[in-house]
Amino acid sequence: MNPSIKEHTKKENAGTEFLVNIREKIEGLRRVREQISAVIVGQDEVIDLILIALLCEGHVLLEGVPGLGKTMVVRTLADSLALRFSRIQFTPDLLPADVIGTNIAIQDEGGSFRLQFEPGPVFANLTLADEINRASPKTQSALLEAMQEQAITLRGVRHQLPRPFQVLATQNPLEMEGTYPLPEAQIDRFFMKILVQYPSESELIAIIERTVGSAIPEAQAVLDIEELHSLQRAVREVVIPPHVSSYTARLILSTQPDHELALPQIRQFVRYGSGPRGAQALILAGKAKALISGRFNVSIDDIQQLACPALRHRIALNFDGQSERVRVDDLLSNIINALPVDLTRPAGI
Amino acid sequence: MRTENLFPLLERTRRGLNLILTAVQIIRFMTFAGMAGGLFILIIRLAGWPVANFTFWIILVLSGGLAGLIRGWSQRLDLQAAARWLDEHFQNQEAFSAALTCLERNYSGSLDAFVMERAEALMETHGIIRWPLHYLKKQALIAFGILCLAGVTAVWRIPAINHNLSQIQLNGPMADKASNKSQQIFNRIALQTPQELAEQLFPRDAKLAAEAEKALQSGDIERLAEIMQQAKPDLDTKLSQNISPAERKRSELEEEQRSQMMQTLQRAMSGSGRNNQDDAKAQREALEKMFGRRDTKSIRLENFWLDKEAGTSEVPLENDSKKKTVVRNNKNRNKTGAHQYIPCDGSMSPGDELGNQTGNWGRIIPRSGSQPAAIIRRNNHSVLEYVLPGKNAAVPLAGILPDARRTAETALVRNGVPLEYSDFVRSYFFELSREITGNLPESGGEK
Repeated sequence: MNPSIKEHTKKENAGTEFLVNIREKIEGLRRVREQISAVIVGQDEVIDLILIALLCEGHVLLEGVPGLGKTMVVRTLADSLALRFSRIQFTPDLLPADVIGTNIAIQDEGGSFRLQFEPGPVFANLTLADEINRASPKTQSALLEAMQEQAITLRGVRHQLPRPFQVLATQNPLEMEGTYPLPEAQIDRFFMKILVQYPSESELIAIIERTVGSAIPEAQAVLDIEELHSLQRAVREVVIPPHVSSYTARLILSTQPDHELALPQIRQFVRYGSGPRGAQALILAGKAKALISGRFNVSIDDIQQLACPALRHRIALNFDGQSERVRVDDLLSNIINALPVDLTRPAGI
Repeated sequence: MRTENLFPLLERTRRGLNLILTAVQIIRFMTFAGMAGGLFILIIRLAGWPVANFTFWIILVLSGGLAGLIRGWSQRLDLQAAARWLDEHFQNQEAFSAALTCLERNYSGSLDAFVMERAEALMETHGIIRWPLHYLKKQALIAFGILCLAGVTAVWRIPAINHNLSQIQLNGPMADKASNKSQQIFNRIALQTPQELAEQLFPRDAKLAAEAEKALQSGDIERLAEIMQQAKPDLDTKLSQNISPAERKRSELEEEQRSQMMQTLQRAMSGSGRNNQDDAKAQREALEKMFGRRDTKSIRLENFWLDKEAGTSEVPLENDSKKKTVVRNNKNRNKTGAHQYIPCDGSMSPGDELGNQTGNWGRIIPRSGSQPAAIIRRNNHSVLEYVLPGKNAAVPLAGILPDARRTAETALVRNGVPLEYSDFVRSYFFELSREITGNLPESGGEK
């Protein structure tokens, strides 16, 4: 690097200690990725997206049938990052206190009672909210509030949640009876919605070989919390060229059925599209993806690849869309295909 | 970090892309203008309006090119666009765009140095810029095709349309003859000079063509027939020889053309009112009618007019007892120089009589100081004659009609006269030719 620019960069960016050895930290992320892959067979995209969300301090909604390794992924991630992991199995009778914790009466040595806050399972770095849609809306709201505020308030006392704090909630798309689907406003608070797919044949064989033997692989911690914090800060500093921001904005606007950029099928099948929170999530995810890739700038490819996980839960289909079984991912793919990247020069050049 | 290299690279890319884009815009606008111009010219020609020519089309195309230049200039790319293009071209994942962003904000970002570092590495390794000339080529090819098509439309005199319209207009009034092929040949013959006709009859034999031209000029149909007979043995000899099929076909076509023309000439003569087709005199007269040979009387009349213009003589011609013509000398020319028409009632000076012309006639005195001209109306004709100075008013109409008709037809075809005028002119000549054909026994050569 040119010494003058290096000097200039140092001077201009005082307090950027998190950038020290940034490449090594990015390399640490790759090692985390390898650790997870050593335990989890397949699900590469799921792992990458969870890592991206972790770097962005965003919460993830995982949707998939039971038994696809969702819990295992989250647990392995926690292990490889030396993070505290907790799991909450959401049921209809689960109460908010079961999630966020409660005050309990404790008798001291003098025999008098005092209230002491007993943190709930949400006080962890990685919280797996299993089948979140089975809990009552009240309990869901308690969790979602904690997700949004990164803190809980009980009897007027605010309790800060540990950093990093990430909730990975799961939904079972099949058994919808007796569930409480998350309201759209609350779904929007999830940074990403990741669809967990069935493994392929080769992956399934590998899963069998790896899990039914005597030796069960375990992940080792390869990145500490400080390093993770540094990376999380570095993500925010990743450069985004103006045309990528412009493209992202147009992409978001194209999902809105009333906007002039909307495709005819968006107007036909979409009830409402993504808002500013979607744009923020997409850009931030793009930055994290670029950093994980070893780049320090966001590319159009990053945005396009992350559009589905970042936006699919922010677009609601109308009755026509639901009855026609339209897939939001297909709509997003069509938008990406139709949307020109550069408006200043004609197509073909 | 060689940041100084990024700007020149981007600037060079920007200039190259702008050049291509401007060229594309110029081509595109020229194409649109050319296409629109060609269509416009085609439409106005079909509608028979005043014809816009090729120059008009060229001006239109050049104007389109200018508009394209202006548009290309107004839409030229900036450095960011050039950086985007480079990123796309080299699949840099927006490295140059990000580097340019860092440069523009003077490295105020924490990670700008890393971005510049990556851009530098890519600049060192990137290959040769392959300009998107295929885009330009594609546009140019499309434009070339369209412009050629439109240009042909603009240059083309629409011979097919003109020819068809000509046939329709010529034959429209005589629909009974329209389908007759020989009539078409006749029309063609009537529009040709003896030399052209002779060359057409014997395209590859200059000697025979010269003899045929002489025969046509002298009105000697017998001699023409002899020449054609003379040509036939040559053809037979050729055909008997081992010649190529193409040559054989061409020779046969020539022979067929000759025989068709000969038949047409004979039919024209037989249709001129003469019953005796073998009459050599009638044939001569018919050819004279067709090719306008001037007789001695015509020459005399021309001399008379020349004398009159000089103000020296008044030459009475034969059979002039009742027909009176007056030519005034230059005394009557007014000062303004414009032509002045003096209507005549037949009571003019008997000394100014001309040939066997009858009826009232007048004279036009040119204000410009040139020679006077005359307008004649004959008793037995509904047609006014405008007699130019030095020209012979007594020349048989049949003698001058083919030339006049040919000249008019050439003018119509070459100058693209609007259809309504073309129709009028052709009808005029048709009426004249029909009148002559109908009055040939009485009027042929005697006027």
